[in-house]
Amino acid sequence: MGKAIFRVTDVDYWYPGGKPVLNSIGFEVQEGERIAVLGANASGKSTLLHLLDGLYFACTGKTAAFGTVLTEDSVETPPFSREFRQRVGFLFQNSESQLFCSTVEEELAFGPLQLRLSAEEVERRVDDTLRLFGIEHLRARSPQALSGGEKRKVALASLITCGPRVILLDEPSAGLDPRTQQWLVEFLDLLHRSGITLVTASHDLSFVAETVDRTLILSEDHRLVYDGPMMDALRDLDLLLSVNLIHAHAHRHDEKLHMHPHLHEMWHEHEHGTEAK
Amino acid sequence: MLPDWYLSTGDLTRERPRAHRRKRSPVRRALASLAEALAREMSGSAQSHSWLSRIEPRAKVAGFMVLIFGATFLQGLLPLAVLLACASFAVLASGISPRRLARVWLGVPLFSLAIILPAATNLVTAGTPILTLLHLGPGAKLWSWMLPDAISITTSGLIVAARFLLRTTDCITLAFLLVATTDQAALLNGLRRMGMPRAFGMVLAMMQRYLALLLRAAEEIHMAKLSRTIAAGSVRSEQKWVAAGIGSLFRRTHRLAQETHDAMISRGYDGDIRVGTMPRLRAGDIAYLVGSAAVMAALILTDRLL
Repeated sequence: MGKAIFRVTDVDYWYPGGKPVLNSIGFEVQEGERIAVLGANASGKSTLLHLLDGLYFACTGKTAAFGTVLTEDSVETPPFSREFRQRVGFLFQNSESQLFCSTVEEELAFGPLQLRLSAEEVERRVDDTLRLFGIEHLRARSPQALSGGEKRKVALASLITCGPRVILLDEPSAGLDPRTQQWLVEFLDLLHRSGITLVTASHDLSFVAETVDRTLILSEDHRLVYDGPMMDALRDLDLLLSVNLIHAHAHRHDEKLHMHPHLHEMWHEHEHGTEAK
Repeated sequence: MLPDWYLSTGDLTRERPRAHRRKRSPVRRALASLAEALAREMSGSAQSHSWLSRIEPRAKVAGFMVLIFGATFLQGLLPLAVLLACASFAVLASGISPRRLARVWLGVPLFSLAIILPAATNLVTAGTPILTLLHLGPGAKLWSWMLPDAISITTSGLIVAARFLLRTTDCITLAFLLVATTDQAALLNGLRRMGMPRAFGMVLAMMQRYLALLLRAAEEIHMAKLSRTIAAGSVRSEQKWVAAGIGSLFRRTHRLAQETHDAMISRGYDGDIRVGTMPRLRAGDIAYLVGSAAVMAALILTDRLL
Protein backbone atom coordinates (compact mmCIF):
# COMPACT_ATOMS: atom_id res chain seq x y z
CA MET A 1 0.00 0.00 0.00
CA GLY A 2 1.43 3.42 -1.01
CA LYS A 3 1.15 6.62 0.95
CA ALA A 4 -2.10 8.58 1.02
CA ILE A 5 -2.40 11.17 -1.77
CA PHE A 6 -5.90 12.36 -0.89
CA ARG A 7 -7.76 12.05 2.40
CA VAL A 8 -11.42 13.10 2.26
CA THR A 9 -13.08 13.24 5.67
CA ASP A 10 -16.81 13.60 6.18
CA VAL A 11 -17.21 16.15 3.38
CA ASP A 12 -20.46 17.90 2.57
CA TYR A 13 -20.72 20.24 -0.40
CA TRP A 14 -23.53 22.31 -1.77
CA TYR A 15 -23.60 25.07 -4.35
CA PRO A 16 -24.61 28.50 -3.05
CA GLY A 17 -28.36 28.50 -2.50
CA GLY A 18 -28.63 24.91 -3.71
CA LYS A 19 -29.25 21.43 -2.37
CA PRO A 20 -26.35 19.24 -1.16
CA VAL A 21 -24.40 17.60 -3.97
CA LEU A 22 -22.07 15.64 -1.68
CA ASN A 23 -23.27 14.16 1.57
CA SER A 24 -20.85 12.96 4.30
CA ILE A 25 -18.24 11.64 1.88
CA GLY A 26 -15.09 10.00 3.24
CA PHE A 27 -12.32 7.96 1.57
CA GLU A 28 -8.60 7.86 0.92
CA VAL A 29 -6.64 7.58 -2.32
CA GLN A 30 -3.27 5.87 -2.10
CA GLU A 31 -0.32 6.55 -4.36
CA GLY A 32 -0.40 4.56 -7.61
CA GLU A 33 -4.04 3.51 -7.28
CA ARG A 34 -6.49 3.71 -10.15
CA ILE A 35 -9.95 4.46 -8.91
CA ALA A 36 -13.31 5.05 -10.53
CA VAL A 37 -15.93 7.36 -9.09
CA LEU A 38 -19.20 5.94 -10.36
CA GLY A 39 -22.67 7.36 -10.11
CA ALA A 40 -25.69 8.37 -12.12
CA ASN A 41 -26.01 11.84 -13.67
CA ALA A 42 -25.94 14.64 -11.06
CA SER A 43 -24.78 12.29 -8.29
CA GLY A 44 -21.80 14.58 -7.52
CA LYS A 45 -18.93 12.86 -9.39
CA SER A 46 -17.65 16.00 -11.14
CA THR A 47 -18.03 18.07 -7.98
CA LEU A 48 -15.93 15.52 -6.08
CA LEU A 49 -13.15 15.79 -8.68
CA HIS A 50 -13.29 19.60 -8.44
CA LEU A 51 -12.83 19.25 -4.67
CA LEU A 52 -9.83 16.95 -5.16
CA ASP A 53 -8.31 19.47 -7.59
CA GLY A 54 -8.69 22.35 -5.13
CA LEU A 55 -11.15 24.20 -7.36
CA TYR A 56 -14.05 23.83 -4.91
CA PHE A 57 -13.71 23.59 -1.15
CA ALA A 58 -15.68 21.44 1.28
CA CYS A 59 -18.56 23.24 3.03
CA THR A 60 -18.06 20.95 6.03
CA GLY A 61 -15.42 18.27 6.59
CA LYS A 62 -11.90 18.24 5.15
CA THR A 63 -10.14 17.40 1.90
CA ALA A 64 -6.40 16.94 2.27
CA ALA A 65 -3.85 16.38 -0.50
CA PHE A 66 -0.27 15.30 0.18
CA GLY A 67 -0.87 15.89 3.88
CA THR A 68 -2.11 19.50 3.48
CA VAL A 69 -5.74 20.48 3.94
CA LEU A 70 -7.07 22.08 0.76
CA THR A 71 -8.38 25.57 1.48
CA GLU A 72 -8.48 28.71 -0.65
CA ASP A 73 -5.44 29.93 1.25
CA SER A 74 -3.39 26.77 0.93
CA VAL A 75 -3.96 26.27 -2.81
CA GLU A 76 -3.12 29.91 -3.55
CA THR A 77 -0.05 30.19 -1.37
CA PRO A 78 3.38 29.16 -2.66
CA PRO A 79 5.18 26.86 -2.47
CA PHE A 80 2.29 24.43 -1.91
CA SER A 81 0.14 26.00 -4.65
CA ARG A 82 2.81 25.42 -7.29
CA GLU A 83 3.66 21.91 -6.10
CA PHE A 84 -0.01 20.96 -5.94
CA ARG A 85 -0.76 22.26 -9.45
CA GLN A 86 2.30 20.48 -10.78
CA ARG A 87 1.41 17.18 -9.08
CA VAL A 88 -2.33 17.06 -9.84
CA GLY A 89 -3.78 17.27 -13.36
CA PHE A 90 -7.47 17.50 -14.19
CA LEU A 91 -9.02 16.43 -17.49
CA PHE A 92 -12.30 18.32 -17.76
CA GLN A 93 -15.42 16.73 -19.17
CA ASN A 94 -15.80 19.50 -21.73
CA SER A 95 -12.58 19.73 -23.75
CA GLU A 96 -13.72 23.08 -25.18
CA SER A 97 -13.27 24.73 -21.80
CA GLN A 98 -9.83 23.21 -21.36
CA LEU A 99 -8.46 24.25 -24.73
CA PHE A 100 -8.28 28.04 -24.55
CA CYS A 101 -5.01 28.81 -26.36
CA SER A 102 -4.57 29.72 -30.02
CA THR A 103 -2.58 26.66 -31.09
CA VAL A 104 -2.00 23.11 -29.88
CA GLU A 105 1.65 23.95 -29.19
CA GLU A 106 0.68 26.90 -26.97
CA GLU A 107 -1.86 24.70 -25.23
CA LEU A 108 0.78 22.15 -24.31
CA ALA A 109 3.21 24.87 -23.23
CA PHE A 110 0.68 26.74 -21.07
CA GLY A 111 0.98 24.57 -17.93
CA PRO A 112 4.80 24.29 -17.87
CA LEU A 113 5.11 28.05 -18.49
CA GLN A 114 2.81 28.83 -15.54
CA LEU A 115 4.95 26.51 -13.43
CA ARG A 116 7.92 28.72 -14.35
CA LEU A 117 9.92 26.02 -16.10
CA SER A 118 12.77 27.16 -18.34
CA ALA A 119 12.12 27.77 -22.04
CA GLU A 120 14.30 24.78 -23.02
CA GLU A 121 12.47 22.49 -20.60
CA VAL A 122 9.06 23.69 -21.87
CA GLU A 123 10.11 23.06 -25.47
CA ARG A 124 11.46 19.60 -24.61
CA ARG A 125 8.25 18.64 -22.81
CA VAL A 126 6.05 19.91 -25.64
CA ASP A 127 8.07 18.01 -28.26
CA ASP A 128 8.14 14.78 -26.23
CA THR A 129 4.42 14.94 -25.46
CA LEU A 130 3.44 15.65 -29.08
CA ARG A 131 5.47 12.59 -30.06
CA LEU A 132 4.04 10.44 -27.24
CA PHE A 133 0.50 11.23 -28.35
CA GLY A 134 1.31 11.00 -32.06
CA ILE A 135 -0.05 14.50 -32.69
CA GLU A 136 3.03 16.28 -34.07
CA HIS A 137 0.99 17.17 -37.16
CA LEU A 138 -1.44 19.15 -35.00
CA ARG A 139 1.27 21.36 -33.45
CA ALA A 140 0.36 24.59 -35.26
CA ARG A 141 -3.37 23.88 -35.55
CA SER A 142 -6.01 25.80 -33.66
CA PRO A 143 -7.76 23.59 -31.06
CA GLN A 144 -11.01 24.87 -32.51
CA ALA A 145 -10.34 23.11 -35.79
CA LEU A 146 -9.80 19.66 -34.23
CA SER A 147 -12.17 16.70 -34.11
CA GLY A 148 -13.69 15.57 -30.80
CA GLY A 149 -11.14 12.76 -30.36
CA GLU A 150 -8.22 15.04 -31.22
CA LYS A 151 -9.48 17.65 -28.75
CA ARG A 152 -9.58 15.04 -25.97
CA LYS A 153 -6.04 13.92 -26.85
CA VAL A 154 -4.75 17.50 -26.83
CA ALA A 155 -6.54 18.22 -23.53
CA LEU A 156 -4.88 15.18 -21.95
CA ALA A 157 -1.52 16.07 -23.52
CA SER A 158 -1.80 19.57 -22.03
CA LEU A 159 -1.87 17.98 -18.56
CA ILE A 160 0.94 15.55 -19.28
CA THR A 161 3.39 18.38 -20.05
CA CYS A 162 3.05 19.49 -16.42
CA GLY A 163 4.19 16.01 -15.32
CA PRO A 164 1.39 15.32 -12.81
CA ARG A 165 1.68 12.36 -10.41
CA VAL A 166 -2.10 12.27 -10.02
CA ILE A 167 -4.58 12.66 -12.86
CA LEU A 168 -8.28 13.31 -12.32
CA LEU A 169 -10.41 12.43 -15.34
CA ASP A 170 -14.00 13.60 -15.68
CA GLU A 171 -15.96 11.36 -18.09
CA PRO A 172 -12.90 10.82 -20.29
CA SER A 173 -14.61 8.35 -22.64
CA ALA A 174 -17.69 10.50 -23.33
CA GLY A 175 -18.21 11.15 -27.03
CA LEU A 176 -15.14 9.25 -28.19
CA ASP A 177 -15.16 6.93 -31.19
CA PRO A 178 -14.15 3.29 -30.50
CA ARG A 179 -10.57 3.71 -31.80
CA THR A 180 -9.87 6.78 -29.65
CA GLN A 181 -11.53 5.09 -26.67
CA GLN A 182 -9.23 2.08 -27.09
CA TRP A 183 -6.24 4.40 -27.39
CA LEU A 184 -7.33 6.08 -24.13
CA VAL A 185 -7.65 2.71 -22.34
CA GLU A 186 -4.11 1.80 -23.42
CA PHE A 187 -2.72 5.21 -22.49
CA LEU A 188 -4.27 5.11 -19.02
CA ASP A 189 -2.79 1.65 -18.59
CA LEU A 190 0.63 3.04 -19.53
CA LEU A 191 0.22 5.81 -16.94
CA HIS A 192 -0.80 3.29 -14.29
CA ARG A 193 2.19 1.07 -15.02
CA SER A 194 4.37 4.18 -14.63
CA GLY A 195 3.05 4.69 -11.10
CA ILE A 196 0.65 7.55 -11.83
CA THR A 197 -2.45 7.74 -9.61
CA LEU A 198 -5.67 7.88 -11.64
CA VAL A 199 -9.11 8.93 -10.42
CA THR A 200 -11.78 8.59 -13.13
CA ALA A 201 -15.35 9.85 -12.78
CA SER A 202 -17.68 8.05 -15.16
CA HIS A 203 -20.92 6.22 -15.62
CA ASP A 204 -19.52 4.16 -18.47
CA LEU A 205 -19.13 0.79 -16.76
CA SER A 206 -17.48 -0.97 -19.69
CA PHE A 207 -14.79 1.74 -19.87
CA VAL A 208 -13.96 1.82 -16.16
CA ALA A 209 -14.03 -1.99 -15.93
CA GLU A 210 -10.96 -1.95 -18.18
CA THR A 211 -9.15 0.92 -16.54
CA VAL A 212 -9.56 0.76 -12.74
CA ASP A 213 -9.11 -1.61 -9.79
CA ARG A 214 -11.11 0.12 -7.09
CA THR A 215 -14.36 2.00 -7.25
CA LEU A 216 -16.30 4.52 -5.22
CA ILE A 217 -20.02 4.56 -5.96
CA LEU A 218 -22.17 7.62 -5.27
CA SER A 219 -25.89 7.20 -4.85
CA GLU A 220 -28.50 9.54 -6.27
CA ASP A 221 -28.82 11.13 -2.81
CA HIS A 222 -25.09 12.01 -3.07
CA ARG A 223 -23.76 9.53 -0.49
CA LEU A 224 -20.83 7.18 -0.86
CA VAL A 225 -22.50 3.77 -0.86
CA TYR A 226 -19.62 1.58 -1.98
CA ASP A 227 -15.84 1.67 -1.70
CA GLY A 228 -14.13 -1.51 -2.82
CA PRO A 229 -12.84 -3.63 -5.70
CA MET A 230 -14.26 -2.81 -9.11
CA MET A 231 -15.05 -6.40 -10.06
CA ASP A 232 -17.02 -6.99 -6.84
CA ALA A 233 -19.10 -3.90 -7.57
CA LEU A 234 -19.81 -5.11 -11.10
CA ARG A 235 -21.12 -8.43 -9.73
CA ASP A 236 -23.47 -6.70 -7.29
CA LEU A 237 -26.35 -6.02 -9.67
CA ASP A 238 -28.70 -4.94 -6.88
CA LEU A 239 -26.26 -2.21 -5.85
CA LEU A 240 -25.79 -1.03 -9.45
CA LEU A 241 -29.54 -1.05 -9.97
CA SER A 242 -30.15 0.95 -6.78
CA VAL A 243 -27.71 3.72 -7.80
CA ASN A 244 -29.09 3.88 -11.36
CA LEU A 245 -25.95 2.61 -13.07
CA ILE A 246 -27.86 -0.22 -14.74
CA HIS A 247 -31.53 -0.79 -15.37
CA ALA A 248 -33.85 -3.77 -15.61
CA HIS A 249 -33.89 -4.60 -19.26
CA ALA A 250 -36.64 -6.48 -21.06
CA HIS A 251 -35.51 -8.68 -23.92
CA ARG A 252 -36.59 -11.66 -25.95
CA HIS A 253 -35.01 -15.07 -26.45
CA ASP A 254 -37.00 -16.87 -29.14
CA GLU A 255 -40.53 -16.87 -27.78
CA LYS A 256 -39.65 -15.85 -24.24
CA LEU A 257 -39.74 -12.21 -23.18
CA HIS A 258 -38.23 -11.58 -19.79
CA MET A 259 -36.80 -8.77 -17.71
CA HIS A 260 -33.73 -8.62 -15.47
CA PRO A 261 -30.90 -6.23 -14.66
CA HIS A 262 -27.55 -6.70 -16.40
CA LEU A 263 -24.62 -4.75 -17.76
CA HIS A 264 -25.30 -3.94 -21.38
CA GLU A 265 -21.86 -4.07 -22.84
CA MET A 266 -20.46 -6.93 -20.78
CA TRP A 267 -20.82 -10.66 -20.78
CA HIS A 268 -23.51 -11.89 -18.43
CA GLU A 269 -25.16 -15.15 -17.47
CA HIS A 270 -28.76 -15.76 -16.56
CA GLU A 271 -31.33 -18.55 -16.33
CA HIS A 272 -34.53 -18.71 -18.35
CA GLY A 273 -36.81 -19.97 -15.62
CA THR A 274 -39.83 -18.74 -13.73
CA GLU A 275 -39.37 -15.09 -14.69
CA ALA A 276 -40.02 -15.84 -18.36
CA LYS A 277 -43.37 -14.74 -19.66
CA MET B 1 -48.33 3.55 -24.01
CA LEU B 2 -48.35 6.70 -26.14
CA PRO B 3 -51.09 9.26 -25.41
CA ASP B 4 -54.18 9.17 -27.71
CA TRP B 5 -53.43 12.47 -29.44
CA TYR B 6 -49.94 11.30 -30.46
CA LEU B 7 -50.98 9.23 -33.45
CA SER B 8 -54.31 10.89 -34.17
CA THR B 9 -52.94 14.33 -35.10
CA GLY B 10 -54.42 15.47 -38.43
CA ASP B 11 -52.52 15.52 -41.69
CA LEU B 12 -50.86 18.94 -41.74
CA THR B 13 -49.94 18.59 -45.40
CA ARG B 14 -53.60 19.10 -46.30
CA GLU B 15 -53.39 22.71 -45.17
CA ARG B 16 -53.47 25.19 -48.02
CA PRO B 17 -50.00 26.23 -49.06
CA ARG B 18 -49.06 29.86 -48.60
CA ALA B 19 -49.33 32.00 -51.70
CA HIS B 20 -45.98 33.70 -51.19
CA ARG B 21 -42.59 32.49 -50.12
CA ARG B 22 -41.68 33.09 -46.48
CA LYS B 23 -38.74 35.39 -45.89
CA ARG B 24 -35.88 34.19 -43.74
CA SER B 25 -36.06 35.75 -40.30
CA PRO B 26 -33.58 38.57 -39.55
CA VAL B 27 -32.15 36.56 -36.62
CA ARG B 28 -31.46 33.59 -38.86
CA ARG B 29 -29.97 35.82 -41.56
CA ALA B 30 -27.72 37.60 -39.06
CA LEU B 31 -26.52 34.35 -37.44
CA ALA B 32 -25.90 32.69 -40.78
CA SER B 33 -24.00 35.74 -42.09
CA LEU B 34 -21.87 36.00 -38.94
CA ALA B 35 -21.03 32.30 -38.96
CA GLU B 36 -20.24 32.45 -42.68
CA ALA B 37 -18.03 35.54 -42.30
CA LEU B 38 -16.15 34.03 -39.37
CA ALA B 39 -15.63 30.72 -41.15
CA ARG B 40 -14.52 32.56 -44.30
CA GLU B 41 -11.98 34.68 -42.43
CA MET B 42 -10.64 31.70 -40.50
CA SER B 43 -10.31 29.49 -43.54
CA GLY B 44 -9.08 32.39 -45.65
CA SER B 45 -5.95 32.93 -43.59
CA ALA B 46 -5.19 29.22 -43.66
CA GLN B 47 -5.56 29.05 -47.43
CA SER B 48 -2.82 31.56 -48.17
CA HIS B 49 0.57 29.87 -48.44
CA SER B 50 2.54 32.68 -50.09
CA TRP B 51 6.01 33.90 -49.12
CA LEU B 52 4.29 36.47 -46.91
CA SER B 53 2.64 33.78 -44.82
CA ARG B 54 6.08 32.30 -44.04
CA ILE B 55 7.47 35.48 -42.48
CA GLU B 56 7.82 35.49 -38.70
CA PRO B 57 4.70 37.20 -37.27
CA ARG B 58 6.69 39.76 -35.26
CA ALA B 59 8.63 40.88 -38.35
CA LYS B 60 5.50 40.87 -40.45
CA VAL B 61 3.47 42.97 -38.02
CA ALA B 62 6.40 45.42 -37.70
CA GLY B 63 6.81 45.64 -41.49
CA PHE B 64 3.13 46.30 -42.08
CA MET B 65 3.05 48.88 -39.28
CA VAL B 66 5.89 50.75 -41.01
CA LEU B 67 3.94 50.72 -44.29
CA ILE B 68 0.60 51.71 -42.77
CA PHE B 69 2.09 54.39 -40.54
CA GLY B 70 4.18 55.70 -43.46
CA ALA B 71 1.10 55.91 -45.70
CA THR B 72 -0.41 58.47 -43.34
CA PHE B 73 2.58 60.80 -44.05
CA LEU B 74 2.27 60.67 -47.83
CA GLN B 75 0.70 63.77 -49.39
CA GLY B 76 1.12 63.28 -53.13
CA LEU B 77 -1.41 61.29 -55.10
CA LEU B 78 1.27 59.52 -57.12
CA PRO B 79 3.15 57.94 -54.17
CA LEU B 80 -0.20 56.96 -52.63
CA ALA B 81 -1.29 55.36 -55.92
CA VAL B 82 2.05 53.56 -56.26
CA LEU B 83 1.68 52.16 -52.72
CA LEU B 84 -1.85 51.00 -53.55
CA ALA B 85 -0.63 49.33 -56.74
CA CYS B 86 2.16 47.55 -54.82
CA ALA B 87 -0.24 46.41 -52.05
CA SER B 88 -2.78 45.17 -54.61
CA PHE B 89 -0.07 43.32 -56.51
CA ALA B 90 1.09 41.69 -53.24
CA VAL B 91 -2.51 40.63 -52.53
CA LEU B 92 -2.83 38.98 -55.93
CA ALA B 93 0.68 37.49 -55.76
CA SER B 94 -0.25 35.92 -52.42
CA GLY B 95 -2.95 33.87 -54.14
CA ILE B 96 -5.80 35.74 -52.47
CA SER B 97 -8.93 35.80 -54.54
CA PRO B 98 -9.54 39.23 -56.18
CA ARG B 99 -13.18 38.86 -55.10
CA ARG B 100 -12.11 39.04 -51.45
CA LEU B 101 -10.13 42.21 -52.18
CA ALA B 102 -13.06 43.66 -54.09
CA ARG B 103 -15.33 42.99 -51.10
CA VAL B 104 -12.94 44.94 -48.89
CA TRP B 105 -12.71 47.79 -51.39
CA LEU B 106 -16.45 47.98 -51.89
CA GLY B 107 -17.05 48.33 -48.18
CA VAL B 108 -14.83 50.74 -46.30
CA PRO B 109 -13.44 52.96 -49.10
CA LEU B 110 -16.94 53.58 -50.46
CA PHE B 111 -18.01 54.59 -46.98
CA SER B 112 -14.97 56.88 -46.78
CA LEU B 113 -15.94 58.40 -50.13
CA ALA B 114 -19.40 59.23 -48.79
CA ILE B 115 -17.80 60.95 -45.80
CA ILE B 116 -15.22 62.93 -47.79
CA LEU B 117 -17.51 63.97 -50.64
CA PRO B 118 -18.52 67.33 -49.03
CA ALA B 119 -14.81 68.19 -48.77
CA ALA B 120 -14.55 67.99 -52.57
CA THR B 121 -17.01 70.86 -52.97
CA ASN B 122 -16.54 74.59 -52.56
CA LEU B 123 -18.63 74.31 -49.35
CA VAL B 124 -15.51 73.07 -47.57
CA THR B 125 -12.54 73.50 -49.92
CA ALA B 126 -12.20 76.69 -51.96
CA GLY B 127 -10.74 76.44 -55.44
CA THR B 128 -11.43 76.51 -59.15
CA PRO B 129 -14.83 74.94 -59.83
CA ILE B 130 -14.76 72.09 -62.34
CA LEU B 131 -18.30 70.72 -62.02
CA THR B 132 -21.36 72.57 -60.75
CA LEU B 133 -23.73 70.39 -58.77
CA LEU B 134 -26.41 72.87 -57.70
CA HIS B 135 -27.30 76.51 -58.50
CA LEU B 136 -28.48 78.29 -55.37
CA GLY B 137 -28.53 81.84 -56.62
CA PRO B 138 -27.10 84.91 -54.90
CA GLY B 139 -27.66 85.45 -51.14
CA ALA B 140 -28.46 81.79 -50.29
CA LYS B 141 -28.17 81.03 -46.56
CA LEU B 142 -28.30 78.00 -44.33
CA TRP B 143 -29.30 79.41 -40.93
CA SER B 144 -26.64 82.09 -40.45
CA TRP B 145 -24.17 80.45 -42.81
CA MET B 146 -23.76 82.21 -46.15
CA LEU B 147 -23.75 79.74 -49.04
CA PRO B 148 -22.04 80.27 -52.40
CA ASP B 149 -24.09 81.03 -55.51
CA ALA B 150 -23.50 77.48 -56.72
CA ILE B 151 -22.27 74.28 -55.09
CA SER B 152 -19.42 72.96 -57.22
CA ILE B 153 -16.67 70.38 -57.07
CA THR B 154 -13.35 72.21 -57.02
CA THR B 155 -9.90 71.14 -58.17
CA SER B 156 -8.43 71.49 -54.67
CA GLY B 157 -11.42 69.73 -53.15
CA LEU B 158 -11.04 66.85 -55.57
CA ILE B 159 -7.36 66.49 -54.62
CA VAL B 160 -8.24 66.49 -50.90
CA ALA B 161 -10.90 63.83 -51.44
CA ALA B 162 -8.66 61.70 -53.66
CA ARG B 163 -5.82 61.90 -51.13
CA PHE B 164 -8.11 60.83 -48.30
CA LEU B 165 -9.62 58.03 -50.33
CA LEU B 166 -6.26 56.72 -51.56
CA ARG B 167 -4.75 56.87 -48.08
CA THR B 168 -7.71 54.97 -46.57
CA THR B 169 -7.65 52.38 -49.34
CA ASP B 170 -3.87 51.95 -48.92
CA CYS B 171 -4.20 51.35 -45.18
CA ILE B 172 -7.15 48.99 -45.58
CA THR B 173 -5.49 46.99 -48.35
CA LEU B 174 -2.31 46.62 -46.29
CA ALA B 175 -4.25 45.62 -43.17
CA PHE B 176 -6.25 43.13 -45.24
CA LEU B 177 -3.05 41.70 -46.71
CA LEU B 178 -1.59 41.26 -43.21
CA VAL B 179 -4.69 39.52 -41.87
CA ALA B 180 -5.22 37.38 -44.96
CA THR B 181 -1.65 36.06 -45.05
CA THR B 182 -1.23 35.53 -41.32
CA ASP B 183 -2.74 32.80 -39.23
CA GLN B 184 -4.99 34.34 -36.54
CA ALA B 185 -2.90 32.81 -33.77
CA ALA B 186 0.35 33.99 -35.35
CA LEU B 187 -1.07 37.49 -35.79
CA LEU B 188 -1.89 37.68 -32.09
CA ASN B 189 1.54 36.30 -31.27
CA GLY B 190 3.11 38.97 -33.43
CA LEU B 191 1.13 41.72 -31.71
CA ARG B 192 2.04 40.29 -28.30
CA ARG B 193 5.68 40.23 -29.24
CA MET B 194 5.47 43.82 -30.46
CA GLY B 195 4.68 44.84 -26.90
CA MET B 196 0.93 44.38 -26.60
CA PRO B 197 0.21 43.61 -22.90
CA ARG B 198 0.20 39.84 -22.28
CA ALA B 199 -3.15 39.79 -20.53
CA PHE B 200 -4.72 41.77 -23.40
CA GLY B 201 -3.24 39.35 -25.92
CA MET B 202 -4.54 36.38 -23.98
CA VAL B 203 -8.03 37.89 -23.75
CA LEU B 204 -8.03 38.61 -27.50
CA ALA B 205 -6.91 35.06 -28.27
CA MET B 206 -9.57 33.59 -26.03
CA MET B 207 -12.21 35.89 -27.46
CA GLN B 208 -11.30 34.79 -30.97
CA ARG B 209 -11.28 31.15 -29.84
CA TYR B 210 -14.64 31.21 -28.07
CA LEU B 211 -16.49 33.61 -30.38
CA ALA B 212 -16.88 30.87 -32.97
CA LEU B 213 -17.99 28.42 -30.29
CA LEU B 214 -20.68 30.75 -28.95
CA LEU B 215 -21.80 31.64 -32.44
CA ARG B 216 -22.25 27.94 -33.12
CA ALA B 217 -24.21 27.60 -29.87
CA ALA B 218 -26.45 30.51 -30.90
CA GLU B 219 -27.01 28.92 -34.28
CA GLU B 220 -27.86 25.58 -32.62
CA ILE B 221 -30.40 27.26 -30.35
CA HIS B 222 -31.96 28.91 -33.37
CA MET B 223 -31.98 25.68 -35.40
CA ALA B 224 -33.54 23.77 -32.49
CA LYS B 225 -36.31 26.36 -32.41
CA LEU B 226 -36.76 26.24 -36.18
CA SER B 227 -37.02 22.46 -36.19
CA ARG B 228 -40.08 22.75 -33.94
CA THR B 229 -41.63 25.72 -35.71
CA ILE B 230 -44.47 25.12 -38.16
CA ALA B 231 -45.74 28.67 -38.64
CA ALA B 232 -44.18 32.02 -37.82
CA GLY B 233 -45.40 33.39 -34.51
CA SER B 234 -46.43 36.93 -33.66
CA VAL B 235 -43.78 39.63 -33.26
CA ARG B 236 -44.29 39.48 -29.49
CA SER B 237 -43.76 35.72 -29.33
CA GLU B 238 -40.66 36.03 -31.53
CA GLN B 239 -39.33 38.74 -29.20
CA LYS B 240 -39.93 36.45 -26.22
CA TRP B 241 -38.10 33.68 -27.99
CA VAL B 242 -35.11 35.91 -28.82
CA ALA B 243 -34.93 37.05 -25.18
CA ALA B 244 -35.05 33.44 -23.97
CA GLY B 245 -32.34 32.49 -26.48
CA ILE B 246 -30.11 35.33 -25.27
CA GLY B 247 -30.67 34.18 -21.69
CA SER B 248 -29.77 30.60 -22.56
CA LEU B 249 -26.65 31.73 -24.41
CA PHE B 250 -25.64 33.90 -21.48
CA ARG B 251 -25.94 30.94 -19.10
CA ARG B 252 -23.80 28.81 -21.44
CA THR B 253 -21.23 31.60 -21.76
CA HIS B 254 -21.06 32.01 -18.02
CA ARG B 255 -20.62 28.27 -17.45
CA LEU B 256 -17.96 28.06 -20.16
CA ALA B 257 -16.11 31.05 -18.69
CA GLN B 258 -16.19 29.47 -15.22
CA GLU B 259 -14.96 26.11 -16.53
CA THR B 260 -12.20 27.75 -18.56
CA HIS B 261 -11.04 29.71 -15.55
CA ASP B 262 -11.00 26.49 -13.49
CA ALA B 263 -9.03 24.74 -16.25
CA MET B 264 -6.47 27.58 -16.23
CA ILE B 265 -6.10 27.47 -12.45
CA SER B 266 -5.77 23.71 -12.58
CA ARG B 267 -2.75 24.13 -14.86
CA GLY B 268 -1.01 26.61 -12.60
CA TYR B 269 -2.47 29.98 -13.66
CA ASP B 270 -2.20 32.35 -10.70
CA GLY B 271 -3.39 35.61 -12.22
CA ASP B 272 -0.18 36.37 -14.10
CA ILE B 273 0.02 34.87 -17.60
CA ARG B 274 3.44 33.63 -18.66
CA VAL B 275 4.08 33.17 -22.38
CA GLY B 276 6.93 31.50 -24.26
CA THR B 277 10.12 33.18 -25.38
CA MET B 278 10.50 34.75 -28.81
CA PRO B 279 12.25 32.84 -31.58
CA ARG B 280 15.18 34.57 -33.30
CA LEU B 281 14.44 36.42 -36.52
CA ARG B 282 15.75 34.68 -39.65
CA ALA B 283 17.60 36.39 -42.50
CA GLY B 284 14.42 36.37 -44.62
CA ASP B 285 12.46 38.09 -41.85
CA ILE B 286 15.09 40.80 -41.50
CA ALA B 287 15.24 41.24 -45.28
CA TYR B 288 11.48 41.68 -45.36
CA LEU B 289 11.62 44.27 -42.56
CA VAL B 290 14.43 46.22 -44.27
CA GLY B 291 12.59 45.97 -47.60
CA SER B 292 9.38 47.39 -46.12
CA ALA B 293 11.26 50.26 -44.50
CA ALA B 294 13.16 50.96 -47.76
CA VAL B 295 9.97 51.02 -49.86
CA MET B 296 8.35 53.44 -47.45
CA ALA B 297 11.46 55.63 -47.22
CA ALA B 298 11.61 55.81 -51.06
CA LEU B 299 7.93 56.75 -51.26
CA ILE B 300 8.26 59.47 -48.62
CA LEU B 301 11.38 60.84 -50.34
CA THR B 302 9.63 60.89 -53.73
CA ASP B 303 6.64 62.54 -52.11
CA ARG B 304 8.82 65.32 -50.72
CA LEU B 305 10.69 65.83 -54.01
CA LEU B 306 7.57 66.02 -56.19
